[in-house]
Amino acid sequence: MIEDQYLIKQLKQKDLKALDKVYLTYKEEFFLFAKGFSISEEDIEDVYQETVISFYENIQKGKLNQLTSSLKTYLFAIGKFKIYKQAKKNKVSYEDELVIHADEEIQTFEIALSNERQKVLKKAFNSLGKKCKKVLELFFYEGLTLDEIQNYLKYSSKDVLKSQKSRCLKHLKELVEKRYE
Amino acid sequence: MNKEELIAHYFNGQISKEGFLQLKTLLEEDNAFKKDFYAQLEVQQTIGQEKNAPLKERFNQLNQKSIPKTKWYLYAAAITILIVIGSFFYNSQPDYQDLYANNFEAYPNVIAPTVRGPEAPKESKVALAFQYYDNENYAKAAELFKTLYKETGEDYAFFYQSVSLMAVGKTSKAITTLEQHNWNEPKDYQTITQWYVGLGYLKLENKEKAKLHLKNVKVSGKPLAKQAKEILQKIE
Repeated sequence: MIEDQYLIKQLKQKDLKALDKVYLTYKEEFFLFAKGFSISEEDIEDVYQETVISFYENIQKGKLNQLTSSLKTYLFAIGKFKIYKQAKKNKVSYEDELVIHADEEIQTFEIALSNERQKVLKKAFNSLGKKCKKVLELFFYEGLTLDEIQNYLKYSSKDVLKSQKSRCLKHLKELVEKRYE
Repeated sequence: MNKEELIAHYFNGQISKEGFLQLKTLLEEDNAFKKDFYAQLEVQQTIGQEKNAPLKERFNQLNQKSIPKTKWYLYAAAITILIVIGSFFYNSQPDYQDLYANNFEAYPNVIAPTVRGPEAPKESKVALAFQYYDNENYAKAAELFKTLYKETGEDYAFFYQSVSLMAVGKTSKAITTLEQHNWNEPKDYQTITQWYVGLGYLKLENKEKAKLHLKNVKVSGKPLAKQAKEILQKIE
């Protein structure tokens, strides 16, 4: 546990060597664990990489300041959630209504995106204006609060920022829909 | 706490246990809210995918470095023994041309399936290029893909142009084209281009370069990994 705390401290400082260590240490065990589910070996590598990345992101966002279980338990909790999601993705067709997977233990919501959809979203996102991209990145990826974003990007008020954000989301939505027409 | 605050707390990672459950209940009960939240998750995951590509690349490289530790010695030992035994019988290098011929296959047309019959769509350049491609007229196909790329900038055009070049035996040219293009984005082509570049070098009997690229395919976890592994075993 003490070593875990140390690793987490390093990860918080974006020490990628520490992340390599986490990745390599649990890889084999994760593969053994994942093989018990109906997902292909190729997918396991993907899922594992995404697991380690989510773990890293959560640390950056300060979700893990006080570790109540071991690092490994937490990592595998994330992994288990992603494996379930993947296993279901293989079974269910995308056309089924919106499914949001939820996990209370790691307090995460995720959706299974098809490659096709992901491509469209990516293209649409990349064709947004610079400002929109920045706002959305800070909010959704960096996990900054609206106050922090307002400060950082020097918005005159929180309301101005809020309406900017919803305009950006709306614009993105329109771009995505246009590609499906 | 209102809906908006709940969402904000969720995305900055500071949501409480109660808040999370509240959000979950809302998602079950309020369909409009769910739709909205779903769209936001899409945005989050899309940005994440984009931002995390370098980390994935980093992990793939780690895999390359770490695999040799456990398995390399075993393979190396086994292969050494085979080579020693083999060299008693005949003294020769692996046949690169054979390996190439057995493994090279023009990448299937996954972009514009050729439609036959009376309902064939109006002939666009894309359709025409793929028609040549599907009919194994690769020289013509390469030309058309080239113009297509110039006009549209689409990655697939560039990719199919290179594969067509390779299929007509213009190996060096195909390699140069593939290598000069940045395939990191989108990721769809990353492994498959490594595969073709690796095969190209195999044909040119440049063992080291072939190994380098095929190893990337081997650790990719993609369907071609097994084939790459087999080639590597034969040329090591």
